Amino acid sequence: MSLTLDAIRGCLEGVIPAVIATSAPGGEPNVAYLSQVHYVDGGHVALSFQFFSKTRENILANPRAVVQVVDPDTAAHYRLTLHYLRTETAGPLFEHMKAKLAGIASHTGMGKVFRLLGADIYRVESIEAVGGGQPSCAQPVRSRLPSLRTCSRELAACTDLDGLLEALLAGLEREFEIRHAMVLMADPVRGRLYTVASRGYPASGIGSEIPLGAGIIGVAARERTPIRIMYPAGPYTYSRALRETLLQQEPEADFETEIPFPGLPAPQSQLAVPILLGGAVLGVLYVESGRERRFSYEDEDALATLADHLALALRLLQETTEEPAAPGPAAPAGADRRGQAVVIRHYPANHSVFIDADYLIKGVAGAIFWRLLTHFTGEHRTEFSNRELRLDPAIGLPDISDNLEARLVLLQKRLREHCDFLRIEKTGRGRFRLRVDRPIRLEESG
Amino acid sequence: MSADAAPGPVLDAGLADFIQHHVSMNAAARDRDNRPTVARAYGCRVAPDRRELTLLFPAGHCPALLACLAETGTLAVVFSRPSTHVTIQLKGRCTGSAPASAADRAVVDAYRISFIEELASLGYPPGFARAMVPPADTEWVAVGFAPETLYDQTPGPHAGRRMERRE
Repeated sequence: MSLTLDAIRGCLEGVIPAVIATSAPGGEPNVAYLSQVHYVDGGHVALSFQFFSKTRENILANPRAVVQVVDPDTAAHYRLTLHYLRTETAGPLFEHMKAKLAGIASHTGMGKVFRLLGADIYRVESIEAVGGGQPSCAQPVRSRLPSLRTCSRELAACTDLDGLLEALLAGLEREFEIRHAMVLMADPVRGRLYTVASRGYPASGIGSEIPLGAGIIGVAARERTPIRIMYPAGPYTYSRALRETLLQQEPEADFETEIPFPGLPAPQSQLAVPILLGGAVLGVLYVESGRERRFSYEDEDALATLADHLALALRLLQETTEEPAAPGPAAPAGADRRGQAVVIRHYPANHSVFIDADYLIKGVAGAIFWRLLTHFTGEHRTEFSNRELRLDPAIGLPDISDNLEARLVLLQKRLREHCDFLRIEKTGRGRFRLRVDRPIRLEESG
Repeated sequence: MSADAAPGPVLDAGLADFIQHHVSMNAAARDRDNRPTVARAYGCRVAPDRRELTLLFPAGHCPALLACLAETGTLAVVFSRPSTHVTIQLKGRCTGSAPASAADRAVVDAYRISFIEELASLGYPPGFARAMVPPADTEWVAVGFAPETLYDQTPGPHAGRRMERRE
C-alpha cells in the first residue's frame, strides 16, 4: 500500500522545519527552508508564503516542487512530490495557517520576521519514505476513538442544554485529559461570542464575551474553521487580543460590564473548534493547555466530531416541544417580604442589569431577565415558558437561531454565581420558575 | 566580475568553517525534464583551496539526487544552523560521486557529534537527535560539489540576496 498524507500528518506540525526544492525555468535548482507544510486534505498541502523568494519565483514558472518533511517523534524523513495549484490570501485555510504560524514563529524566536502573505496550495502527487529515524523514539499514541465514542454517547443521553455542556466538558477532562475547556455561544446580531460553560479555571467567566474575529476563538468562529496552535502565540492570546480588539472596535467600551475572560494567561497550546450547523456558527468549543504541542491532529479530529454532535444536540433540544406545565406548588416567590428592598437597575441601551451596584448581565440575557422581573413585580408571576419568551417582542430575539436556551443557561449561572436571592429553576421541558427570596425594587435608567 | 584572473573561491574561511559542523544540510538537483528533488546530507568536507566540497549522503536516501546529477550536474545546497537560523545556499556543479572513503566516514562521524550536540542544545530529546543522523554502518556516497554562487538565506529582509565573494 502506498504511503498516504494522512499517515504522515504528524510530520506537518511545523516542529521540524521542512525543505523545498524547486527549479527555475532555465534549470537552476533551488533549495530553501519552509516554516509550514499544512495538511489541507488527503490529497493537498498548503505551504506558507512569507517572502518573495526564489522558491516563489520558481513555482510560479515551474509548478513542480519536492518537499522533505521530518517526523518529529521518530526523525523519519519523507519526500512529497508536489504540483503548485494556487495561492489563497484570505479565508479559513489562510487564517488557520496564519494562527499556526504565529505559534511556530514564537517557538523559533522569529516572531517579528514571520508574516503570512499567502497559503500556496499544492496537489500531492506522491510520497516517498526516505528512510532514517528510529521508531523507538515515538511515544505510543492512544487511539482517540474509544474516548470519542464514550463522549458521544454521553452527549446523546442529555435532555437539557446545561447538562449537555457539563457532560461535554466533564467528558473532555475524563476521556481526553483536557483540563481547561469552555464553550462559547454566538450572538450573531452583536457579533459576539459569550461563554456559557467552562471547566478548569479559578473563575468560571460565564458571560464573558469575545468579539467575532478576536484571537483564536473569534477567528475560528468568523472563518468557520478549527484552529490549532502548538506553541505560545502572542497575537492569539486573550489577555492581549481581547482588550486590544475591544478598544479598537469600541473605544468607549464599558469595561465595568466586561466579565473577565477565564482563559489561561499564557497558554502554550490552543485549539478552537467552531460549532457549525447548516452553515451557521452556533458557537465555539475551546480548549487550551500549559504544555506545548498538547493537541494533535487526532485531538482536532475528535473535538471537531464532538462539536458536530453538540451542534445537532443543541438544535434538537431547542426544537423539543414544550411540555405543559405541571401544576407546581404554590409560588414561593416573595416568600420573605420583610427587610429593605434590593434595587435592581436596568439600562435599556444595552440591557445591562445591576443588582445594587453590582453588574450582573447584559444583552439578550439581560433583556430576558428584566422582562421576568417586571412580570414578577407587576403581575406576581413566577412561572414562565421558553415559548412565550421567544414570542415576546419586548425581548426582541432574532428569529433564526435565537439560542434562547443558551441565554437562559447563562442567566441561570450568573445568578447562581453572583446573587443569593434570585434563581431560575427548571420546572419542566421548556418551562422554568423565577424564585425571588427577598423584596426587590426595579429601576429603569437612561 | 573580471574574467582576466581566475575568481577567488566563493567561500571565505569563516563560511567554509560554518558549513562543516552543527548545521543542517540539504541538497537539491533536477532532472533533464526540470523536475527537482532533494536529499539531506550528513557531513561536508571543504578542500584546502575552498573551491570544492565533498557532501556525504546515505546511499539509500539519494538515488533520485544521483540520477539528477548524472543527467544535469547542477546542484544547490542549503546550510542552516538551527540555533541561530543563519542560513546560506550555495549553487554550482557536481564534480562526481563515489563510495565514501574512510576519510569521508570520519567526516560523517564528526558531523554526527556536532549535529546531535546542536539539537540537544535546543531541547530535542537525545533519542530524537541521535535518530536524525543515520548510524555509522550506513553505506555512504560522497558527492563532489564546486560552488559558484552564494546566497544569504537567513530569514529576514535579506533572505535570498546573493552574497559577493568576501576575500
